[in-house]
Formats: sequence, C-alpha cells, structure tokens
Amino acid sequence: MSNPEAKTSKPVDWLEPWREMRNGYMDAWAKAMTGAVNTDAYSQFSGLMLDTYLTTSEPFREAQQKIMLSTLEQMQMPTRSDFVSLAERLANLELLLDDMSAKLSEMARIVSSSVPTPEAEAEASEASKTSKSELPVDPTSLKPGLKFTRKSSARTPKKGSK
Amino acid sequence: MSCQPEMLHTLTKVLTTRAPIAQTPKEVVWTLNKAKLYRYIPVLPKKERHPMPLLLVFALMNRPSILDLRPGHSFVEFMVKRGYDVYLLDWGSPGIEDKNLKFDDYTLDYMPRAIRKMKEVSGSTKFSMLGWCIGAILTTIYSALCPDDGLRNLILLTAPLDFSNKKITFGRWTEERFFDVEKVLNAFGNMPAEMIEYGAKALNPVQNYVGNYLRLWDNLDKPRIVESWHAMNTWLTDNVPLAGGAFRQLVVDLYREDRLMKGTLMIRGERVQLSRIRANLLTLIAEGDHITPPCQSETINSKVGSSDKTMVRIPGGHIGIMAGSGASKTAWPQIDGWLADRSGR
Repeated sequence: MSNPEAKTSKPVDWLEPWREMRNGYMDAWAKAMTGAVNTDAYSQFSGLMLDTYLTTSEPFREAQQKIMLSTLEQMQMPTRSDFVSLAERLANLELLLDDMSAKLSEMARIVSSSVPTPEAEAEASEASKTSKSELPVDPTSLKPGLKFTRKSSARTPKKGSK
Repeated sequence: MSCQPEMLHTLTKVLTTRAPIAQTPKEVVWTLNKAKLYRYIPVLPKKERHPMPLLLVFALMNRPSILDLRPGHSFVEFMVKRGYDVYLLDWGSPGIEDKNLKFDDYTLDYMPRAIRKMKEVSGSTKFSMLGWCIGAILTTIYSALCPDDGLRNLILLTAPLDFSNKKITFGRWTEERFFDVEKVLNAFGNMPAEMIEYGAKALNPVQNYVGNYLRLWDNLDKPRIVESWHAMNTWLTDNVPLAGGAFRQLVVDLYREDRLMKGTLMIRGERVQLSRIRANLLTLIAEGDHITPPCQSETINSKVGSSDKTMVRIPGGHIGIMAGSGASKTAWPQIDGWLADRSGR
C-alpha cells in the first residue's frame, strides 16, 4: 500500500539554503549599488567617461565623415545630408497630404450627409422636374469649380482606410 | 535545479531568440513619418462597447509593445475584451533626419492629427487618453495646449512631470556640470538607444545585470516563468533612439529647469499651463519606481484645473505595474474601473 504523503511531498532541495543566502546578499548588494549610482561622485565619473570617449573619437568621426563625403561626391552619389534634406521634405509633404486627406474626408462627410433619402428624392422630383443632376450641397463647403454628382457623392470613405 | 541538456537548450533559446510579442489583432489607420496609429480589432459587438475611444501613448525611446506583451497577459487585450475601442500611437524609430524633432512637433503636429483620425474612424468627438512615462509628458502638454479638443479622460502612468527634487538619479546624472548634452547630440544627432538602455539599467545595476539572469536560471524548469521572462527580455532589448530635439528639451527644460511644473515651458511660442487641463484625471504611481520616483508624479493633481481627479499608488516598479505578473489584478482593473464610469456607455 502506497503512502499518499510520500507521493505529494516535495523532494528536498539541498541548494535552497544557499539560494536564500545568495538572494539576501544580492539584495544588500543591489541596495548599496542603487545608492552608489545616485551620488555626485558616480555622476562625475560617468560624465567624465562619456566626455573622454566623445573627445577622443571626435577626430576619427570627423575624418571618416570627410572621407565618405568626398568619396561620394567624386562618385556622383548622393550624400547623407542629401538624404536627410529629402526625408525632411517628404515629412513636410506628408503633413500637407494628411491635412488635405482630412479636409477631403470632411467634405465627403458633408456631401454624403446632405444626400436626400429616396423618399425625399422622389417627392422632390415630383415637385420640381427641373433639377436633374445637381445635389443640394451646401455651397460654402465646396471650392468654386468643383461639381459633385450623385454618383461620386454617394461614395463614403471606408472606415479605417488611410 | 540540476543542469540538464533541455534546460541549457531553453536557456540558449531564450537568450538568442525573440519571443512573439504584440499579438493582439490590429490595423494601421494612420501614418505620419515614422509614427503609426493602430486600431485594435474589437471583440465585442458595438452595443456592448464603450462609445468613447481610448488612445494609448507610450514613451518615445521604447517600443509600445509592452502594452500588448503576450497573449493572456496584455493590457491592450484586457481593455479590448472590456469593450474599449483601443488605439495605440506608435512613434516609431527616429532616423538622423528626425534629429530636430521636439516635444513641440510631437504634441502639435503628430498628436492632433492622430487624434483627428481616431475621431473620424471611431465616430466619436470625445475620447480618453492614457500616457505612460514620457508618453505622459506628451499627453499632459497636449491636454494643456488643446483643452477643447474633446479629451474627456486623462490617465497618467508613472509620469515624470515634477523635476523640483534634485536628488532624482537621472536629474543628478544630467546636471550641467556632469553632462554636456550638446556634445552628445553633436556626435550622434539623436540620443542612441544603447545609451538610453544603459542609463535605465544603471539605475539599479545589480538587479538588471545580475538578478534578472539569476531569476531566469532559477526558473528554467518552469515554462510559464520562462515564457514571461522571454517576452519581457525581448521588449527590454529592443529600444529606439530618442530624437535629439526632444532629448535636449527633456534634459534642459525639464530635468534641469523644471519648466513644466513652474509653468514656464514654451511649446511653439505658447506657455504650457497645467491649470488649463480640465479632463477627468487618474494618476497612477508605482511605489517602487526607480526611473520615475513617486515624487515626480505626486504634485500634478494639485496643478490641473480638473474637478474630477484621482491618485492611486500601486506596489511595483516603472514597468512592473503594467506588465508584471500582478498587473492584471492591480493596475489594469483600477484603470478599467475608473474609465468605465467615465466613458459614457
């Protein structure tokens, strides 16, 4: 007959006391180090290290940039500054396009909200046979020269599309 | 724990591969330069959802995937299941061409446009916004500059806003006498991701460089802990640079001169007045935060003009309160409970 206690009891972990001791030591070390890094001495040390690195690497960095620039220019290739200015211009264009896109969406929303329901349209066509293709759009919301027909105004932008 | 071949295999795998993170289904609804606005696919029918969308804004120098770490342990997944229409603003990784981007650009060019798109997609003119870490600085500035833009609820997580305490470690490191911000930016353009990662880890070096790996070693035979460690390590080792202009503002205007709290921070010529914030405000503070100590977030509630404001303290660290194993029982329900009452369903 098996002993149920023997089945459920955990095996003895001989490393557990050592692990506890190690964790205690780690906590004390962590506390000491957290305090040590929040001092003027550490700030001065880390600042000095960074400054030394930047100062010593500067001539190499400048030389590398000059060589690369002259090489690219001799090869008639665009340089980094060319790409940077191009990227900046693209970002500005994106801003303009985003604003235009938002304005178009707003116009489409205004136009679609002013499209009459089929019932109202039927009544209107009975009452006046003269207006056939123009929509009752708020003229202040559109630029002069733009002409919205029923077909184009019925399209609304798909939600979630860019 | 005995050292067995399968455990060594697990160790190698965890240290050399990337865990699948940010798995909640989403779609891109807007992009501008490197920034993207994601909308998470709702799982509840429309009548059961909160009508007011929620925009998540994370820090500039980390990936926002920490908000959607892994299936079954994701803040985004939790909020989507609770009926929120969740949007996430991902700033992307700035290139050298973005070195002049400042808080001004993020708060007045990017955020208003992303919010405009979110309003269009969601069909709601009112919205809620959650900012975490530097994301909380951006959301605070935005809320003060655009108080009439429809922001109803503002949630600030571990927000570094008050820099008056000069004993904050980051503040000490970046003092003018120790740190030459112009020299760093002249050399690199942007603040390199590696330097930011070192700075964050050096705040608590023993835990980050030793304790973290010991924890993995001790638990190599526990798949759930290994999976969690792997996901967190994947996120931790994937940082992005911080745009030079924004880094300069963070160091000079905030850490050195505490301009936000003093009311002297100028964004594109306009003074940022915290008293103009009228949205309902929830401030979450992590009691064990080394990166943003509680003193940096405690004073904001007394500065804003909101009539409905709450401050909650949660045990845990800067990241642990939202991504730690206890987050689903502490921070997440706190946010959901507060927001649900104010989201107009």
